[in-house]
Amino acid sequence: MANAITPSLRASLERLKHAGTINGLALSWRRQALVSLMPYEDYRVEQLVHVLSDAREHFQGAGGRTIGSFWMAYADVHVLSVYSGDVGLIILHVRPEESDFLTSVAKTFLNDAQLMVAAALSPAASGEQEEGVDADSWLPQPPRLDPNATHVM
Amino acid sequence: MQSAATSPNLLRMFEVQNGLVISETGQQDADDFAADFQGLRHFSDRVGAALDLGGSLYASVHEPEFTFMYMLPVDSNAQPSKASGAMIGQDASNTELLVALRQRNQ
Repeated sequence: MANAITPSLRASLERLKHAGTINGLALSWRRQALVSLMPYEDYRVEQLVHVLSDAREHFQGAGGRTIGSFWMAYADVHVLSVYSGDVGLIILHVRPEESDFLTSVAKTFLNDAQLMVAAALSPAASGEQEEGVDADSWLPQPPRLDPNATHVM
Repeated sequence: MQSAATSPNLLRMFEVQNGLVISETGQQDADDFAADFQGLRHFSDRVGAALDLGGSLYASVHEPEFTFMYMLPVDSNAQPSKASGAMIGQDASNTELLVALRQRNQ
């Protein structure tokens, strides 16, 4: 039996964790955390997304500015936040010399994951496409025989 | 036409001493630097507070044709009166800006 292979945002992010000395990853859409692989509670990740969204709005609010990324350094870790439209990828990493490489990795990921992000944002739309195709639809169905029908296929 | 000294594609370095921005390229650059420094430092410290990481040491913001970075002294307290920073009119490498600021601070 063939199974549909559904690419998963979480699985894709899990693979990204091997890109360098990465401690945590989170994918955001506007002010909402979509996927979190951070070593923090969800409410802290939400707070992080909100602060970074505020920062982006602050800089872009001046007019004519388009923020591509933030990079912030602390005693033990760096926070890198890369944006593509409304979607952002937040990376916690250790080594400062990896920031440029991780920025390019994040840009590539955001470009490649557009369809998965769109599907995650509108599960209802993707559900409508599969309406009527439930999990058991491959099972043999009883023949629909109607003795009153003139043509029975 | 801008002179070579004020060309946005050149790396412009700044220093903050006792709350005053010292610029080699004019008052407008100093005002722009001060605004970005204040904003970025504020949000970097808020991110640090959200994740219990402490205050920021340095930070950068990137646009398609602009990059800004600031760096605080290692022994800075909560409100340091000293800082250094750089701006350039292109999406520059974090590593290159960091090296340039560290060399200037030596």
